[in-house]
Amino acid sequence: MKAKNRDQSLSDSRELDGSYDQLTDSVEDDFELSTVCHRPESMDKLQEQTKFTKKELQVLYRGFKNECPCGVVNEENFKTIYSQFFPQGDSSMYAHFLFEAFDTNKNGSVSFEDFVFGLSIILRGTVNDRLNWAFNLYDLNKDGCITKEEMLDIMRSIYDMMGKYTYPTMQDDAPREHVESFFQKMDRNKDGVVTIEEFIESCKKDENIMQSMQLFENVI
Amino acid sequence: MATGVAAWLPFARAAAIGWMPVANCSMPVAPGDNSRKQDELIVLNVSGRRFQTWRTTLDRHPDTLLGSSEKDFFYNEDTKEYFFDRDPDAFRSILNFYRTGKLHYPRQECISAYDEELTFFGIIPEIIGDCCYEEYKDRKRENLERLQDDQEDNKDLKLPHMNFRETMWRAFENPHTSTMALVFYYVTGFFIAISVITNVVETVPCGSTANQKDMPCGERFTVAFFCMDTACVMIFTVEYLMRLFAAPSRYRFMRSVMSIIDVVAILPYYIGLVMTNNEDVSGAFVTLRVFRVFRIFKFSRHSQGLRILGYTLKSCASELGFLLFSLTMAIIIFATVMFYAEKGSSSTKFTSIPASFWYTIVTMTTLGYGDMVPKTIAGKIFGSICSLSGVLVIALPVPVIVSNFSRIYHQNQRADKRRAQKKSRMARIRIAKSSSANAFLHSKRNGLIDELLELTGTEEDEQKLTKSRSLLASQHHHLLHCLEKTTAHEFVEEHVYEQNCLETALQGYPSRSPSASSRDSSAGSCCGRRAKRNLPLPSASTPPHAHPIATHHQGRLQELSAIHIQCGDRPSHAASRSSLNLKTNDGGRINCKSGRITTAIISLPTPPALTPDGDGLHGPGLRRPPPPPGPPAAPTVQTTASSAGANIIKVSSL
Repeated sequence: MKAKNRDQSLSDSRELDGSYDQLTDSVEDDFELSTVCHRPESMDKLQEQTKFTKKELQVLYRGFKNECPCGVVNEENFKTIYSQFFPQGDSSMYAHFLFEAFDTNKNGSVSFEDFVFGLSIILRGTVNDRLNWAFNLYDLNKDGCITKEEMLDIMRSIYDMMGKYTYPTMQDDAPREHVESFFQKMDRNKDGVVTIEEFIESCKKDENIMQSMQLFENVI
Repeated sequence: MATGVAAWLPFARAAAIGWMPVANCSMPVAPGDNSRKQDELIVLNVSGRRFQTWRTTLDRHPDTLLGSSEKDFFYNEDTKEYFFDRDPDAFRSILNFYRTGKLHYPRQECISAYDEELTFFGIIPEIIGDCCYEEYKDRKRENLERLQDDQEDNKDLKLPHMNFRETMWRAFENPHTSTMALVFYYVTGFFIAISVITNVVETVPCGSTANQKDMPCGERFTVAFFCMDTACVMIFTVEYLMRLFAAPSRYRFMRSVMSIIDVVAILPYYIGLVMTNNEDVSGAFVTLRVFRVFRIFKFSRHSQGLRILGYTLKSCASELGFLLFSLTMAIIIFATVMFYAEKGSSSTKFTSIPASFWYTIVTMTTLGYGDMVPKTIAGKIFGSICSLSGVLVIALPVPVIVSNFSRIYHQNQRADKRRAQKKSRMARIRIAKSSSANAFLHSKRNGLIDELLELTGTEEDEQKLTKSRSLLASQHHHLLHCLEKTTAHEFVEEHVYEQNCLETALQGYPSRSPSASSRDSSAGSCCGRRAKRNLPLPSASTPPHAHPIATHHQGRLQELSAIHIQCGDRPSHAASRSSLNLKTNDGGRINCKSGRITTAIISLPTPPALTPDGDGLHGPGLRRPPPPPGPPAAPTVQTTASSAGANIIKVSSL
């Protein structure tokens, strides 16, 4: 028997249902808002896979579930949550990149596991792990190297978060200049792209960056 | 920051890893989490009902009673709980506010009791969520009106002294304000009535006299009626002139409907006065008298209902127009049909189609005078169809108009309410956003003051000033600070930004003089380099050393330092001290002198080693004379800057 497609079966059911009025009812489908409810794996498993203690996982999950009662974050929610930390600027692009970086299985939503894995790398990982993660964030198409265009997008998104009211006044070419200086620093063989090795090498040589990486030690 | 997402702050801080590799300077030190104690459960005993929550939940809102140390006043040592002698039902919504970040207003609560609870717990009602905000505001307004009604007796005229003209206008518009106005109001009303009655009675036949036929009263008692008319017109004229005098905008007053009615009401009299001599146009004069009936419209000033009716008719104009149009269509159709149907019969009254219009109208409105009746069979058939359809054609649009009227009326009310609420809601959102943004800037300013006191003040001063800022807030501010460092720009308040824009516009051209040397400077002087390009210097031609800073700051030192104070970073001492020792090349110095006006001001009396760090050095030495520079390079600076001589002294005395 041929499987009817959904619309067909829908219209059939409508005809049978005498209460369906052709004139006034709209052709919208029934409410298909299946609220995806996702439960994370058990705490023990998460504790094995990440470097957080049980208490830390508890605190993280409570906060996560408070904002996203259904257990997963979709990109819209993600952007909304992130934008509340940056009231003056527009953080949606950067939040988008972050979302891409956190959503490791590319299913359009960030579950608690994704969330906690990402945080574990950033907050409890080695310097190499962190740099890897940052590289992954910058590499938008995940091809193993950062091009100037990708970096420009990232840079612009960071500058957008500052908003309009800055001192000194934000110039339009500020991101581009910053990208130039970044590539000058990172691109060793001057081939126009920054590979993961170049990135890690250059970052390790830069004292400022190394120092900043220590900031993540005591975030939680 | 919306503290509902306070739990996500660690995530936001972790996400800052994306900025680290691109930042060219080092990040400020993170605020330490001294209180390493575990998250504990707090018991809140509200009149016997026990609520429990995490301490961190309450800490989300540090500016309320429960989130701050104020709750320690209510701590009961024996039972190890916080006891509040308040309403437990209202407390539910308050605690939910901490949990969910949204404040809801329960409908069964009394508005004043709820307000009291909010005030007690230090929560401002403006953050009530959108779902409950309208209800809350409505109840609040009702309450306010009720209070106002009670107080209206006391409300005397304590208005500011208005001049005579304004008083008069107010008296005209609101007759209840003073007794004079009320008297005036009633007198004019009385005379309008008199005038209208006079016009009516004028035409009544007064009974026969010595003359043969019945004369209308107007012709019999001409003098009396004329006197009455004159008196009324006098009153009306005086009233109109007084209104014209008192009107705030005479042109607008003269264009208004009421004044046009006034003019039309009194004009026939004057025209009549002028024209009695001329016999030819006396016929026209008679028709002018018709316009005297417009005096009855003057009543609309006295009657609110008339005004509303007039307005609704105006607003239903399209529906009325449609009614008229459909009626006209039907009339024309049926008149044509009736005419051709009755054409055959002799001595018919239906002489032409326009003549048939009268019959059609009378029939369709079911009047049926009977002065024109069809005689042929076809005519009678069509006549009956006409009368039947007349009922329909007229009956259909009328309910539409009525419902339209009621819809417009209610919509108006609702639209006004919604518009008022929307404005206040937008204002609320804007305030919330700007307050969270300003919180960061405030803390920067406070951090600045802290810095100063740490250098020059005593310990007590410092402690006095250091507010107990919540850890959450300081972490959030640290995050924003890192972003500033990454992009080498600073957050400023809107008005400061406007000020800067104004200044740059006044300056005219951007200066590039110090740019050359700065290009080769190392990555460490990132912030200065970037900032420099964006800030135009007025004296671009002068060589890049101490001069330009002093000269172009002469007149505006005050405000520039003021700007600086507003934009000052919250420097991290460790970072600044370490970077002090890093850079000593002159290229960097030139760099930042032009880039950061603030550092320029500071750089003069302090060693050059300090200057290249656009970011490292802000607070010290700004408000008071800076401490004698420690590093030995100080004297050299003094000498190089000595050429600016008096200027420097002026600068430092700032």
